[in-house]
Amino acid sequence: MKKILVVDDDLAICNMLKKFLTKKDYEVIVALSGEEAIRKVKEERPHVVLLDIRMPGMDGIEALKQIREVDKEVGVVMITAVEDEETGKKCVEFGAYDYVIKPLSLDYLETVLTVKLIDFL
Amino acid sequence: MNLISQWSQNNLDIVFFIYGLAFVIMGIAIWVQPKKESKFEIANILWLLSGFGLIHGTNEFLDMWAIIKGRSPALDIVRSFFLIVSYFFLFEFGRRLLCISGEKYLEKITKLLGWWLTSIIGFAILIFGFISTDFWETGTIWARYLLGFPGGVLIGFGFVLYYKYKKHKLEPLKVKKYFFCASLFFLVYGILGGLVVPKGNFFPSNFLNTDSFLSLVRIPVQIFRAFCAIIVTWVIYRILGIFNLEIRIELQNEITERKQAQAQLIQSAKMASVGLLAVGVAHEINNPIFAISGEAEMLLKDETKDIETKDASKAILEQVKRIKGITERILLFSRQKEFKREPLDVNKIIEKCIPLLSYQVKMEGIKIVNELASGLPRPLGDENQIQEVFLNIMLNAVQAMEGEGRLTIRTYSEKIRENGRRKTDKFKLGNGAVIIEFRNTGKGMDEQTLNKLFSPFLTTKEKGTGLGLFICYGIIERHGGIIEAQSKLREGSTFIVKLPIPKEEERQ
Repeated sequence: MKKILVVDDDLAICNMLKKFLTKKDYEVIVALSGEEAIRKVKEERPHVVLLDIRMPGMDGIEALKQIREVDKEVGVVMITAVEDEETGKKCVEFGAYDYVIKPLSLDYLETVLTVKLIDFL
Repeated sequence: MNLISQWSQNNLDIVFFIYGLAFVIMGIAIWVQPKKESKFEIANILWLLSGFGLIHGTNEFLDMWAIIKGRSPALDIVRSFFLIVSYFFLFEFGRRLLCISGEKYLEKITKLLGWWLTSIIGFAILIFGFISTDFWETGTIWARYLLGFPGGVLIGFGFVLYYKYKKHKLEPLKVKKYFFCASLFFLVYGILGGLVVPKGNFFPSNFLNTDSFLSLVRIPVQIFRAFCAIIVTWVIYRILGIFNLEIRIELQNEITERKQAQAQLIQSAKMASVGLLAVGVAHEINNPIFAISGEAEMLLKDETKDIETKDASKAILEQVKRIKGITERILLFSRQKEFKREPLDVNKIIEKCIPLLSYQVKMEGIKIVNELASGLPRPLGDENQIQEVFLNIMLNAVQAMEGEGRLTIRTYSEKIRENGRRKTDKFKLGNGAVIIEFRNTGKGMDEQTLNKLFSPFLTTKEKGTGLGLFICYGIIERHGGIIEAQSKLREGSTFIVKLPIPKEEERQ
C-alpha cells in the first residue's frame, strides 16, 4: 500500500483528506506542523507528501527544503490558500511537483495524484 | 486763486521738497518690496521706476537747495545731470513695460528698437546740447522732450495694456483702479514734465514753457507736477500690494494642494488596510471551505447515502462555489500576479469596451458619446486590467441610468505646469497624467455612498457583491494612478481615472 503524508495545521483538513485518501486505498499519515512533517518523512518514508504552505512555526517552503535533504525521492505537492506566483516558483525550484490552490475539488486532487505523481505511487 | 498763486510762487522750496519726497518714497517702496518670487513680469522691470523715483527725487531736492542757497554753475550741472539720468530710467521703464504688455505688434516694435533706441536718444540729446550755447540747459529741455514726455506716454499706455493682458490674474486682486490711475497720472506727468519745459530759444520751448504756463494758469507747473508725483507714489504703493497678495494666494493654493494630497494619502492608506483585511479573511476562509467542500464531495460520491443526503451535499457544494467566487474576487484587489507594464492606448481600450458592454446590458435608450483626444501620451500598464476597470465603471454607469441616459467618455492629458495654475495631484502624478472621465446622467449618489464608494462590499445593486470598484481601486493604485468620483443625487456621476505619464527613463 502506498503511503501519503498529509501536512496541514488545520485538523479539519487533515481529517477530511485522510478520510478521502483512505477510501482511495492509500495509507495516510498526518502531520500538523512542518517539524512534525520532517520527522514523519524520516520515520515513515511516505511516497507522497501533501504540504500546506501557511503554517505557524516552520512554513511549508522551509519544510519542503528540509524534506528534500532527508528524502530526495519523495513526491511533494504543495497545497495552499495563498495564490502567489513568487511562492509558486520557489516551490518548484525547491523540488515540489505541483502547486494547488485551496479550495480544490477532491476529483482534481485525485487526478493530480494519479496522473502527475504516478511514478511515486 | 490769487492767494494760491502768490503762496506757491513764494514757497517753491517747500513744493520741491514735497515733490522730491514723494518720488524718493516711491523709489524706496519699490526697492524694499519683496518681489523676487513673483510671476508678474512687471516685477523684473520695476527697479527702473525705483531708479527714476530716487534720482528724480534727488533732483527735486537739489532744486530746493538752489532756491534756498542760491544757484551756482556747479549745482546747475549736477541738477541737470540728475534730471537727464532720471528721465532715462523713466523712458526705459515705459519701453520695457510695453515689451510685456501682451500686445504682439507693440512688443515687437519696442523689442526691435531695444536698448539702442534709448542710446540714440541719449546721443541726440548730447548733440543738441553741444550745438547750443548752454549745453546743460538745452540738454535738459531735449531730455524732457525726447525722454520725459515719451516715457510718460509709454507708461500711460503700458499700465492699461498690462492690466488688460494680466486681467485674469489681476482682477481678483481688485487693483484695476490703481492701474488706470497710474496710467492717467503718468500721462499727465509726462505732459507737465516733458512738454512744459524751461524757456529755450527754439520752438516749441520758446512758446510752451514754464513761464508761459505760469502767466496762463497763474500757478507754477511744479505744483501740478508735485501733485502728480504724490498721486503716482500712492498708486504705485497700492500696485505693489499685488506681490503680497500673490504670495498669500500662492500659499493658500499650496495649503489646499497639501490638504488634498493628504486626503488622498489617508484614503490610500485606508484602502490598503481594508484590502489587507479582506485579503486576510479570504485566505483564512479558504481553509474551512476546503474542509467543507471535501466532506460534501465525499458524501455526494458515497453510493451508500440516500438521495436527500446527496441533494444536501449538492446544495452545500453550490454555496461553497459562491463563497469561492467571492474570495477569488477579493484576492483580485491585491493580485500578486505580476502585471504587465506596456504602453497603453487608452482610447483603443475604451473602444474595445463598448461592444463588450452591449453583451452584458441592454443598451437601448442609452447613448454613448466619445470625446477622445488624439495623440495622448501612453501610460504604462496592463491592458487587461485597465480594460476591466473601464468596463466596470461603464457597466455601473449604464446600470445607474436604468435604461435611459447618456454616458460621455472623455480622454485628455494634463501636464503639471510649472507656472500658473498648478494641479492638485502634483505629489503623485509628478509628470502629468492621462485622464479618462466617465460622466453619466444616472441617478447619482448621496454623499454617504460617495465617501465609501471604493470600500469592499458596498453595493446599491440587487445582485452586486460590492467588489467591482474595490478591485478597480486596487488596479489603479498598482498603476500609480488615481481613481475618484464626483456625484450629485438625481443628476448623475462622474468617474475620473488618472494614469501617470511615464518619465523618459521609465519608458525604456
